[in-house]
Amino acid sequence: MREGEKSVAAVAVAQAHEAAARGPLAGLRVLDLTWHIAGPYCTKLLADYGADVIKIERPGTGDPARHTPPFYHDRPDPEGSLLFLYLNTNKRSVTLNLKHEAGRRIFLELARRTDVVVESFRPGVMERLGIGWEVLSALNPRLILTSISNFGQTGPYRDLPASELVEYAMSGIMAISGRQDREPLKHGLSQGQYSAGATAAYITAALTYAQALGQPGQWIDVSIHESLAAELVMNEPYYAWMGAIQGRRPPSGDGLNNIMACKDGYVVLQMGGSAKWSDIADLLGVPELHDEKFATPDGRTRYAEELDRLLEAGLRARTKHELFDEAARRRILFGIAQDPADLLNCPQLRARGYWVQVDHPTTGPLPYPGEPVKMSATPWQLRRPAPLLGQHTAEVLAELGIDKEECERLRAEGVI
Amino acid sequence: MLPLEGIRVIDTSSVFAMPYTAAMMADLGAEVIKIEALQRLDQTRRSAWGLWPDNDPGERPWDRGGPFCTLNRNKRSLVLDLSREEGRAIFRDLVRVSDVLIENYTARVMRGWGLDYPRVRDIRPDIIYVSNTGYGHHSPWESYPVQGTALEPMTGICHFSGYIGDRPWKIGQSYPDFVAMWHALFCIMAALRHRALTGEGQWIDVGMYQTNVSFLGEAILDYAANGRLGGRIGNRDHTGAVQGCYRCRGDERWIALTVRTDAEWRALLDVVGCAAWPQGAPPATLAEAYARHDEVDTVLGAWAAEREREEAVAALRAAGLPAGPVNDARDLLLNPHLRARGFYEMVEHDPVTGVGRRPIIGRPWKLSRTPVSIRRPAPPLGEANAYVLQGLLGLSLETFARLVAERLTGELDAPPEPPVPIPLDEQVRLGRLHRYDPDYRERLGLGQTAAVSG
Repeated sequence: MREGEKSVAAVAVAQAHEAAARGPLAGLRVLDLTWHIAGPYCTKLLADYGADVIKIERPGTGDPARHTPPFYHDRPDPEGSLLFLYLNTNKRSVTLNLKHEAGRRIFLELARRTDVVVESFRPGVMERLGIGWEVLSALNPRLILTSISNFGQTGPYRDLPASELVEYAMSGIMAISGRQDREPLKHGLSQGQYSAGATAAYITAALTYAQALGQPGQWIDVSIHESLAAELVMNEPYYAWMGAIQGRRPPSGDGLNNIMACKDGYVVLQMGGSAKWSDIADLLGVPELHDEKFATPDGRTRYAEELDRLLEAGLRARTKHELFDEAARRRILFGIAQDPADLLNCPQLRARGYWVQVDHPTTGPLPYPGEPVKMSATPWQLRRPAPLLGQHTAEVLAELGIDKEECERLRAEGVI
Repeated sequence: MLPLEGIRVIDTSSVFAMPYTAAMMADLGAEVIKIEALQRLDQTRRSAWGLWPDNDPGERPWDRGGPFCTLNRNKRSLVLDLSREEGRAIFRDLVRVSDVLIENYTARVMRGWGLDYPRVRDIRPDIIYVSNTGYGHHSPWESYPVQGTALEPMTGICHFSGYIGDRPWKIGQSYPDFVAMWHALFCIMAALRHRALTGEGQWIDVGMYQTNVSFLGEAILDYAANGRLGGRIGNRDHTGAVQGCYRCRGDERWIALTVRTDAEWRALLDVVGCAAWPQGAPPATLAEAYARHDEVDTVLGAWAAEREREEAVAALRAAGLPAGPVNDARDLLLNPHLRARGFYEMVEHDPVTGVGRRPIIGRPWKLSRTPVSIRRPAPPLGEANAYVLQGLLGLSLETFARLVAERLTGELDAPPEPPVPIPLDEQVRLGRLHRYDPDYRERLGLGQTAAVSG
């Protein structure tokens, strides 16, 4: 029966995919004043799911991400930052000097015709540029303004500088990450920025639904710091419910639910789901693990050090892929530590059609992460690679009725 | 009018990712009906997640857990056993009057029950149906069970997280759940917009794995273009800033700081002084400081160790540098900035639970015109049985009574497993907790101190 079920569902999904021409945000016009990672990931999601995102960049230099490594073949090039290329797919680029009065007027003309503005300046900068919420909402009452900042638009930390590391430290995540006998740890790369970007994307999308029903626009204030602090759904209640403060991980006796070595890499064996303790003992083939003292959570806590030695002995004898496949058969929660090469070769990601070839003038085709979520009627789509700096300036200004000659004049004045 | 007012959501999900997703929709004004069976409660109602008020399971441990109350605020609770056909018939009736369905069973479950998307769409053509699994439907690993803890290293992020030269590390608690949640919410909201404009519903098939790999784009392209696999660099920056996390005076007091430019580097030297450098002259530029990072860490570590955390942070901030404390849960709950922003909301819980007033995580965003808040606490199990079954669906009193007698719906009178609170002292001794404050209620302004069982 299960096979039959699968084909019914698969056919339905295939039909829905065929019917779809555009993403769920088709027709949504977005002006993107953001830079670096958080804001661009927000507008990438909007663009990849169908919105027309116009990225406003500073003439000459553009988004600072253009100057941030990694670069294609390690050659610094504003059109070769792999960070920038990944985060700006499906967007159009317009250069515009917002400090110039003519630039401001062009921006306001665009804002009059747009549905959403997303910005990630320090709080107060939009107002100083004369394009703050008061001005924009008076001009276009339907408009949604999404502001992404380190600590939000209000409160005593509003104007404090921050970094990815400082956000992680202040969020509470680092206090429970790493070893007790070493310094607190953050996630690698720039997860805090991506987290805030995805957060900003969903609340922006929620308001586009209200907008489609005819409700007036709103100003959304997204805090990067709070985006991370909102993850602590156990750690916060520990204190609020009983005054307890969690620490970092003990240096030993903490193997279960944590990363352990196997024969050829690292794995996680997690308790929970439908697997029983005896399933785990069978998976590892270590007879001592069948001892009753390990069968309860309490016992596993009390005999944790001994348990770790037995788990490690079992894991060291097997390869990660053998263990992964067998754990799945036994319905045990199990994971292996993968690196980018593993991900690019992963049969699951390939089967889901996750990797998309994106052909950019600087790099030629490269495999990018594609569809994060499948939507049956309105799928993720790649329409264009990341834009060259100012690639669409003339095209977008033409939509405002600004002709070639005037473009030349604006260019000469440093407006675009 | 809140943005999602008028939307009804059926939430059959469990644990973190999808319950939190549905909670955000409830915060935004949707009516969210959480469905559980007496035989199969949400895992966060059970002992493994038992984080009870003052470590006391009380009479109704399943209604009292902190994570449960956080992840299920603003929802209604319906008890309905979907493993029986009559339960599924009622479920289909509920689908007819609902807009969004959220489930996170492994792929075979809803298919086995005849409640997968094609069948549900037959009943309610414009339904927005959200499936959340570890790896996504219709794929080789669709039936592989997985939760956030085991999934985190799969996604690649642990390869980049951890101490230099050490094994990969998991960071925080169940990180992949939140990444999946944000993407699921984004797609649900976009699908609602699409439905409002076209009348068309759809199936949203979330594979948690894919959502998380999407946060590693530049690292994957670095490998694809340059063959660089990268790895673990502790708290260091991979783009040239100098930064670290250093221990101050006192018990577990740490600071973090970042220096991003030559001007900031000079500002830092003004704060820490030029005398303490083992190799004589301090680095003159940011690039030189990055090249001498170990030495920088030694000097900053020695500087921090002689100072109180707040004093160190104040000095660095006064110099215009990004710096801050490594906050723990107490620091955050008492933090003046988060207080001013109302990030934690004080919620009075249902009297039958005995949870009382507790601060709960709100949302990391604010709306200017329709402020969002926690309007009702997490629901006691089955609190909305009569509202949904008799009120919304019009079942007779007799039918309702029969369903209760057959335990298809109803309430729980005893926990499915005996709760086993481990005394807090014991948890501290075992290294599961760092410490606890017996006077936390006063500190949080929760009123009188009840005895915390040590």
